[in-house]
Amino acid sequence: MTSAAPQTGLAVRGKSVSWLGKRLAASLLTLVLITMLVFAATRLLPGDMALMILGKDATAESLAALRAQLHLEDPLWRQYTAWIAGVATGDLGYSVISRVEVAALLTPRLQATLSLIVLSLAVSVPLALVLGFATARREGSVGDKLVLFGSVAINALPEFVLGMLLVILLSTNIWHLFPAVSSLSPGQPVLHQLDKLVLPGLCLVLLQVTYLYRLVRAAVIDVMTSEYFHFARLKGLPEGLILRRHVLPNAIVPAVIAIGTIFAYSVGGMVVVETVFSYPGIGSALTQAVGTRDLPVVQAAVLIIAVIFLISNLVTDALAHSITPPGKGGQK
Amino acid sequence: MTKDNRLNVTRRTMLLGTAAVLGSAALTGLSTGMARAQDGDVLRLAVTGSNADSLDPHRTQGQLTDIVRFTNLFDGLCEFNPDTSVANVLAESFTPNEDATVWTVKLVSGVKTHAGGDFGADDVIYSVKRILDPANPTKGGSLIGFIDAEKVEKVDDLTIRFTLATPYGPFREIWANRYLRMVTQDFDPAAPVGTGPFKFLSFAPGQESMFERFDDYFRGKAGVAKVQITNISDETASINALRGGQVDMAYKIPFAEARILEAEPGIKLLNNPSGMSLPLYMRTDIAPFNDVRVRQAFRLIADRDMMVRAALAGYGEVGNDMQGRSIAPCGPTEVEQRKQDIEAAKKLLEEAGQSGLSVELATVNGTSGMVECAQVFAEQAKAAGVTVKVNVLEEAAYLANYGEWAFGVDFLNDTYLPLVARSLVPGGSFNNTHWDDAEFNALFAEASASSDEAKRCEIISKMRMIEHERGGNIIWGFANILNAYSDRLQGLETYVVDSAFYHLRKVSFV
Amino acid sequence: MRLLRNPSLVAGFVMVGGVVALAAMGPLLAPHSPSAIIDAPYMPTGPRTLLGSDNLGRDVLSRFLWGGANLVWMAFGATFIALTLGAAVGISAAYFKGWTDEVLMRVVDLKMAFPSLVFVLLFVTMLGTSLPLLVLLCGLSLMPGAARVLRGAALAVVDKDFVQWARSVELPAHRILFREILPNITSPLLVETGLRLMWSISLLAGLSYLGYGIQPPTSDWGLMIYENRNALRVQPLAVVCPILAIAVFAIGGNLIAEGFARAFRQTR
Repeated sequence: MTSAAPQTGLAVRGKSVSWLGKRLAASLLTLVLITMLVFAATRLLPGDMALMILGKDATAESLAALRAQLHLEDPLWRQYTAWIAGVATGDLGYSVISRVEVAALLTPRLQATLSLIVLSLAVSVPLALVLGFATARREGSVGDKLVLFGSVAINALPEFVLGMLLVILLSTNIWHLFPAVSSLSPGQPVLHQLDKLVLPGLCLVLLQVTYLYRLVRAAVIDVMTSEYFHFARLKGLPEGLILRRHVLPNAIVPAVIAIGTIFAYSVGGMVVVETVFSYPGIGSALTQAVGTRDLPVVQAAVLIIAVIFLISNLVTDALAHSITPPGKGGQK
Repeated sequence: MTKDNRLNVTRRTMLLGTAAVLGSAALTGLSTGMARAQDGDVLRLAVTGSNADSLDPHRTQGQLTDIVRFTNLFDGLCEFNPDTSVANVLAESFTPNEDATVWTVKLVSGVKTHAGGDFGADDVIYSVKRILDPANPTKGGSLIGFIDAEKVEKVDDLTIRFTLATPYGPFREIWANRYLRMVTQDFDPAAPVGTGPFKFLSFAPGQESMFERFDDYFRGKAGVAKVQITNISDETASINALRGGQVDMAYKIPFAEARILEAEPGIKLLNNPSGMSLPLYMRTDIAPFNDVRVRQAFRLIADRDMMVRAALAGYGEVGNDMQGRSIAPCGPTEVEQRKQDIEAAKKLLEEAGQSGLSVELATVNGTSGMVECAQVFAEQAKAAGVTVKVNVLEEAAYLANYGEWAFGVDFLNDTYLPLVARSLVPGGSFNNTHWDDAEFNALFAEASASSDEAKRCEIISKMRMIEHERGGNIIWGFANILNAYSDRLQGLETYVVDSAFYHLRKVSFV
Repeated sequence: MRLLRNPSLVAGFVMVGGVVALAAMGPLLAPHSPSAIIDAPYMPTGPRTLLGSDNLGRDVLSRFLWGGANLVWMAFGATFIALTLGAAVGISAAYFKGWTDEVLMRVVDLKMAFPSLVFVLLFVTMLGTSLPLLVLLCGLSLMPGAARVLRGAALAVVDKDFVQWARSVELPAHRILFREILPNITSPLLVETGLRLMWSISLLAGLSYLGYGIQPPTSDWGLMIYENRNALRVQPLAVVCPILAIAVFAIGGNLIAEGFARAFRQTR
């Protein structure tokens, strides 16, 4: 499982600039395609945005008037180009349901999501490195096996089950330590409400550590069983030095890639965790908007998530590219 | 092992760092826990809502968060008592002319607005015209369609004269409806000014709003200094928030969980005997339900006791295919309770040539019990050889074809005549059964025009018998509305139409 | 056989096999119809209900025994789709290189940039919930990861002598892809199978939790957890049983992946 880390096509050094240019162009193309896809998808959703705004009491005339006002009767290409033109100038439009600017609606949501991801990674990355090293050096010991089994079990639980267990354990039933519901108070910075981040954060940390540490562990074992490592040892190099100079850099590469992947995925991919804890992140804003047919919000949220995904992928690849130890050439 | 020192150090620092992050988070947790005990005068509610939240009492989608907000920020001319009777609030008296076409309303004097001004006739006229604004159709507008917006006149600062397009007998009662709250002139939803027991502090749609006590409230100060309304859409989460002490009151308690909460220390259940029915509606204008025999057969299929026991976990009352759980002040309508009779149902279906009928039942995860009752009915239908396929729809998809489903589940909660106007006569936006019964319609017109209470009750009783005899709804039961609250609170009452959440001024900490 | 001495693999197969057997045989063993209402909601063990009753007063045991059939075949179906498509895309990209590689991988990127859950949710909302659609959508959601991994594995093979030879004697491309390259990446393929089995069951259960998965009144483990999640104190079994079954299945998938990965490392 661990050696199956996502391979990211790394070009040979020296071609870095053209590689970057190509990747940027490709990412831009991907983005344009995504805008088209999401636009088409939203227009294909059953139900009527106007009806969702006016509700069951709506009359046919008021519906028609509202549809015209929202430009829902315009040809699709015109609706699309109008939207894209807005996006290009930084205008994401108005949320038809909340009647505020989409940007104003989604900014706090995005901040909440990013804070949670960054905080959880800040805990889980060092933890995973420590655990990975510790267990790799004692491969096969009882401790190693226990940690491994624990991580397999945690990883195997559906996210919402893990979340429910944490709530029961730490909030409502056994100990009453942290708030079970993480709905943030608006107007207060997220960092002033850290108590509300504990449970969703812990849930993410558990999911991340159990995945990351195994990558680190496998990478360390890989290096430690390599001929090079034995040779270095035979040469009498101090073990600490070997670990620092050779093992760590080699273990860091897959970890960096994995961290990038986790980051890229979590922005739109932690809907379930957000739902369990009522955490106001961008993923749940998106799913709610699909439910209420708030199409401008759906479009903007998908766009934001995709942009972050593509940028973080690009950064990850570039980073992995630049820190890959010489001689390893990025292949593994 | 000295070689490992460097690594050990880094490991230790990492562990320390981790511990520091977690520890500081834990400390904030504890410190807010302590802060909680001190500012105990903030009443915190968990209510279900959506991003469509607004502070506008008229242009609202009617989600609970909105209702809870505007019922506490604004007053109506009247309001509901815990039973369905109506009390005056901003209005002091209602005087009709002979044929109930002209009503003169006198306002209570000395009512202050949140902005410090006096509330008067101009504000009422402004509000009524706003509710009836044809450019912005509102829920309230469909309730008072009999008022001619051009003929709402100011007599003096505290007196308004309404001239009606058609006579309307229960004119006073209609003003208790929550969608008919009074705002002040030049109302701005971003900075709402009303006369209610609480005034606006802050609001973030879909998240949270804060109100504070309005010290000059004309009916006396509210029992708590501040109200914080948190939007929690997941019912599990709102129960958890109550259990964990994050909120003091939670609106949405699913039936099946109520028994569990009732047994928990520190938490009390508010069991409102509401008039909410969850009808299974059958379209009376298309096959197979245009045949009254099929409708009666379906009504005979329902084992109502079991539906109440299973779908409502017993928190409700059996229905008899007539709207209205209790008709104040009229009292019950004497009709024999319809019971399950599979043999009779089979016979009726056979006569109608619909044996072995297969239908789809559209439902939606709206209010608790809607999905459940559909499942229970489908199970019961098997005995009569009828296949009912439950189709649980997403809300937008359900709404997209609202009024067109041949067989579906809805929920309704109102007093009898407004409810009939909306759901049992042609033109009503909730008339899912497409029922158009000449005799019933005539009786409704008569009841609406009558300002004589006894006579009105008599007509209502006839109307309900017609419903029972040939209507399009299976009204198998009435669901209680369940709220839960911390036992540190007092002053919460159960309501039939309203809710303790709409009367927060009465709530205080023990 | 050597693989039998691999404890992870054996344990994994036993766990997955056990849950599959439970799902397949369950309906035959169930004492009641899964939709029959036989008691009041959330009653403890009684004379007719071995494990008590659920939110509607249905027999928990019967619902549990019926609840795996759909979920398990759906998880296998989604995994199969993910791997078939992933292998086809990954191997082709690695073999043809150049533009084909570029285009295929961009498509994969495109799919990845779209969060899986949102992707499934949009289509389910658009087309309505049906089991085959859920399987297809989950399969598609899990495809890009498989495509990337298998492309990586295939890249290491395409430059090997036998492939070069096959190419030089102009064997047809599909033959090279499926007869020469595919057999040489079975190890990562098997690892991916285990992983994707685990993820697909989690994804399906997560969808049920959000209300976009299998709909009532079908009995389904994910739905059981969702319907009874608030009643943990009075009726824990209605939640714990399906959680355990899903967890065992997922852990099994993970152990299979782990086992194959280890076997793969040893032979390398």
